[in-house]
Amino acid sequence: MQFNSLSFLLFFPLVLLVWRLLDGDFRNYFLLGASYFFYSFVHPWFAILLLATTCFDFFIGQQISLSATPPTRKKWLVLSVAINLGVLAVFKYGALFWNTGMELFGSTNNLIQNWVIPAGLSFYTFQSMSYTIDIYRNKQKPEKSLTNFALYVSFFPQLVAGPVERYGNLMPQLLQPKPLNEAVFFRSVRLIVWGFFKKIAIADRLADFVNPVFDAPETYQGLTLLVAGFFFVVQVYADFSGYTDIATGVARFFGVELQLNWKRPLLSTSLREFWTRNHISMTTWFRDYLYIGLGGSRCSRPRWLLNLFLTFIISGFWHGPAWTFVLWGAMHGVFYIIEILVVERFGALKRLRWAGWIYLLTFHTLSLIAFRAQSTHDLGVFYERIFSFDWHITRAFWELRYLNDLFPLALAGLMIALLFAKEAHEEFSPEKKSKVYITFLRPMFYVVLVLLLFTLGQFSANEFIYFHF
Amino acid sequence: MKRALIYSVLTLALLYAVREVLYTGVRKNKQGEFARLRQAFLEKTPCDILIIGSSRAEGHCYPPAFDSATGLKTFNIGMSGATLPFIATTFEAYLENSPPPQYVVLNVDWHTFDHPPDTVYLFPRYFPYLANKKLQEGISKRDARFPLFKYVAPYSMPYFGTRYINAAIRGYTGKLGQYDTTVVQGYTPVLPPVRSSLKQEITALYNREVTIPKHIPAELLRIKKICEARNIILVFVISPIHEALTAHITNHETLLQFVRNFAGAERIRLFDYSNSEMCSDDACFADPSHMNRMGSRRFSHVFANDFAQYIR
Repeated sequence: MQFNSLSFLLFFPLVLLVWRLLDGDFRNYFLLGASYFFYSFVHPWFAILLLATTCFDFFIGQQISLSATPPTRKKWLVLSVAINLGVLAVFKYGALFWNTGMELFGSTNNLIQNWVIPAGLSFYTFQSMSYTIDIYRNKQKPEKSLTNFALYVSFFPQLVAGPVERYGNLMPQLLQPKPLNEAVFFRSVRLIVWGFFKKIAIADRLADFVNPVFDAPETYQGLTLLVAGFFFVVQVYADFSGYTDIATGVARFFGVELQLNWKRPLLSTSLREFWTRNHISMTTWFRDYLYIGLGGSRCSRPRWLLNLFLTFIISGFWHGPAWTFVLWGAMHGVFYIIEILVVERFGALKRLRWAGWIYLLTFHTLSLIAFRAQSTHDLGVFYERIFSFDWHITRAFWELRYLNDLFPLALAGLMIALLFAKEAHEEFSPEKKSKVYITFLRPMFYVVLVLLLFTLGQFSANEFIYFHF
Repeated sequence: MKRALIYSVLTLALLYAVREVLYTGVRKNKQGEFARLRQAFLEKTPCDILIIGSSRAEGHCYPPAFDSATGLKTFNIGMSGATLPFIATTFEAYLENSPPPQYVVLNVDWHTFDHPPDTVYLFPRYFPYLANKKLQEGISKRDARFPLFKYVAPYSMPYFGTRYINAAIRGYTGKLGQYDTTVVQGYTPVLPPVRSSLKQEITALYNREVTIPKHIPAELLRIKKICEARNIILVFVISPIHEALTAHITNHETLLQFVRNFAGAERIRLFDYSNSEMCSDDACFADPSHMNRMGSRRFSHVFANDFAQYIR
């Protein structure tokens, strides 16, 4: 089920109402049922995979805890990691492996064309895997109730696109939900409205320009390709952070505070800062369970830099079975390491922060073009035309206008400006707000936002971009 | 919670207000697609010859050609994407505010029989005109969401995209859209597709069979009865479609024979241009289903002269 669907608008209040009427254990039983209903709404069979992963990791978590010797504990952990990565390999990369194998044997008639990856597969397998690793590292005690553990894995607001929660943060809140007072209610509503606005009025509007350009890049000149790349930067951020905002707002109604996943990453002034603000739950997951697993920084300097690079490469490959994702990861790895070396040599940039911001946005745009390009050939077209610097502003304007007319183009520009203005306001405005702001200006801003959402939103759009990562 | 209620009510009230402002703006268009809908459904737009049908009626029959050939006044309310039940609705909706014409020309072709189970094509464009009771009733029979669209702003607004907001702005500012001046007495020419050529469109055609749904004779009789009740003379026309499309509709001749038989049995004059030499002239077509501006004027000239002969 999608947040931006009519069915969710019925599902959410109904589930909340029943959940509030229930008491004790029944609340979590009901929430678990609702979460599975939410997940299986479109593809019921995928819920079986979710249930199987949950049961395996619950059982393995207990076995790790019961094992007396470190080698036995390790065996159980390896089994858990193997099962989770195996599920990922089969369901996410299965088509790639199959097609590659078929092509090797010259049997091109049996290639898989339309492989459906279970929604949110990576998110819940990572969440489930972090539980067994934390037990192995003695950071967590195993959960005694399968129902509670299943709810931790499947809690519907964050099930399909994160944030990737840790057992230690989510489980206590599911067992003892925080009360919903007026302040939390309004904070949640504001977050949900802003999340929907980012998704429907910003991301999906920009998609009307991004999709056709990325579908046929050879039709456009360099500047148009660069602008489309920048639009994609904003689109993917608005789409994904919009989802997280809605998820966080919805979770608060159930007394759960999800972890902060986005901290205005597009205002970063360096790549290192960017990775402390962007998709935080996944970044910290890779840090804690992959980078540290590889040895982290407690090793020789070349090995440390290699660990960083490998972490980025693997995180790129995590997005999907394509060289473009690996290239995206490699670009980030290389620039991240270069930044470390530059800062070590010359110190951090304290003045001219705007130059850092422009550098970050430019690099992020160029690297995300690799992320979005449909093939390495298309990516070559993008880079060749952008770096030829044969740019024509008027022609780029007409090419963009030709895609979707002047009015939607102007709206896309306005939406981007609104997004940056709001984020800048949150970033730089003083914490203490006036009474007029709290009681009138802020609520009216959100009223206007709802009106704009209904008036300018692109409601015919599809699902969230990160559902299949 | 009192504050939440106040802001919710305020938001809802503003949503209705914004919707009304947009609808009014759309209706204010002086020329073009939306002015044509206002003339057809909300205003008294008297005429002697009324052209009804789908996009082939809308884009093939050029009223000034009929005006000059017959000396009568012509108006075109063909609606793109309309199948027979909705064509009947548009006719009834027109009669709500306008006096009955002397003649009604119904363009019948393969699309008239096509009965897709989905909703009315480009349905949000009718939102600002639902004050017309016949339109609201007829369209609601085809699409059960329409009562909700009319009364529940949060439900209808998401369907009312930027295209219509743009039209509302044009309505208030009095500016004309890019294609507004091409609309003449309801006639709206079909423009060639932006990203492909006629040849590419022809290549993309595939063989299909169009079945004649059971309700079609009843719908045709319904239109005939409306005409008889108001002393309107009903005529049928089969306007040219590209021969490549005809070749891909495997039972095209059966469809045409059905129209011929029906017209013969009901004594309705049929103007049949399905074998016109224009059907094989690429220069006349925007796409395989529609003539372009030049083709439609050429066809209208021929048809208007034949029609003038008939009414004499």
